[in-house]
Amino acid sequence: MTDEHPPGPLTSLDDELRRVRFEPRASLGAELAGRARRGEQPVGAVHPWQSFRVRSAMALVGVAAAAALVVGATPLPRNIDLCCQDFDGGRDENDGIVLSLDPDGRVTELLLYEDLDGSHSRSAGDAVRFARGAELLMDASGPQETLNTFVRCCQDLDGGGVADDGVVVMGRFPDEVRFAALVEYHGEHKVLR
Amino acid sequence: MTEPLLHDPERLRRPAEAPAEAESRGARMAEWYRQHGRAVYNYFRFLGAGPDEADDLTAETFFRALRAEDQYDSGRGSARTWLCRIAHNAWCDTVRRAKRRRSLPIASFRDLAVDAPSPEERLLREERVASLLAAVSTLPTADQELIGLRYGSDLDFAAIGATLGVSEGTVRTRLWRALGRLRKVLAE
Repeated sequence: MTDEHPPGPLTSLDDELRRVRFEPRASLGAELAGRARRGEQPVGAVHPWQSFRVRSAMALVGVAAAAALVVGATPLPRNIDLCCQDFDGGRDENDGIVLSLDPDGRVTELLLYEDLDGSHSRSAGDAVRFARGAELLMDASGPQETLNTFVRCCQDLDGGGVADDGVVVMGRFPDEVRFAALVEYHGEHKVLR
Repeated sequence: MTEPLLHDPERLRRPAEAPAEAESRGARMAEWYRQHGRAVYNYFRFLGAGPDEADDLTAETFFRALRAEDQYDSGRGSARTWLCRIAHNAWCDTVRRAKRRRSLPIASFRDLAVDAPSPEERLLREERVASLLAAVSTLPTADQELIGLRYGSDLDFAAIGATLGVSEGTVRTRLWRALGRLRKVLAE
């Protein structure tokens, strides 16, 4: 840590926090090395559609979707990873959005990230700015009165064939996102999802 | 002792891996952990994870890092910064799975490093750290994140900026504000 100290009244708190140290159990390092040797994989999906198995599954899904279109059957769930644009009003075209859509085009998962590692897709080294499931969710953990709203429109994000989708983001820009949703324009009506 | 293959049918289906590759992967994991394990573990503890959850999250972070290690570019920042970003994402996933922002109970301080000559002093120290972290858990998420990176992971302002994708000056301003809010909570 550098020697940068806070303004006077906060010095003692800064010192106190610096002195708090936790010691992981001594065997953890050796245990992780052993598990790595045995080829253990992470539990969470950093970028699930990059693995061979999932890519294969996605290819099969694509084939099935094409077949479904031919016979006029119901479309399948989709994952979309779109990078890089300015989704959060930060002016840099380095934001990405990951969308999971159910067969009816409803958003089941939305994740906004900043492509910090320059991979042009969601990867482990990116900074996640916001994530939610199907429910529209506002992170109320900080002051709400200073939030800005940014809407990027319009393109075909949900694959519906019409460029009528936008992304609406609320937060304190450029890096604090408290709310994000797809917005679809139907004439004068807007539908958030 | 030989592992019973028949008890793990998956192993029979997997192609055999050269022992040297497995050994090298284990050695890389050991080295990553030796250099950054404490920083990652402390980061999770500052965010409110208990010792067991911090263990699990630390493991998850390093397994993610190992899987994505070919994506790491030292020209874009330090390994510690990259790992802290992965740790942050692992934490976000945990919170998301819980479907709410949460404050975890501070259940145990068995892992608190204390240089206290007596059990009474150790207890006092544990109580003080418990109230500090309980106060941190009431702060806005962004404040908790900054405090975790600064005091848990021991990052300087430039590294925090690189982790969060903001400038060093922004980190400084926000951290002092967060400490101001923390001081206020502790005084209540």
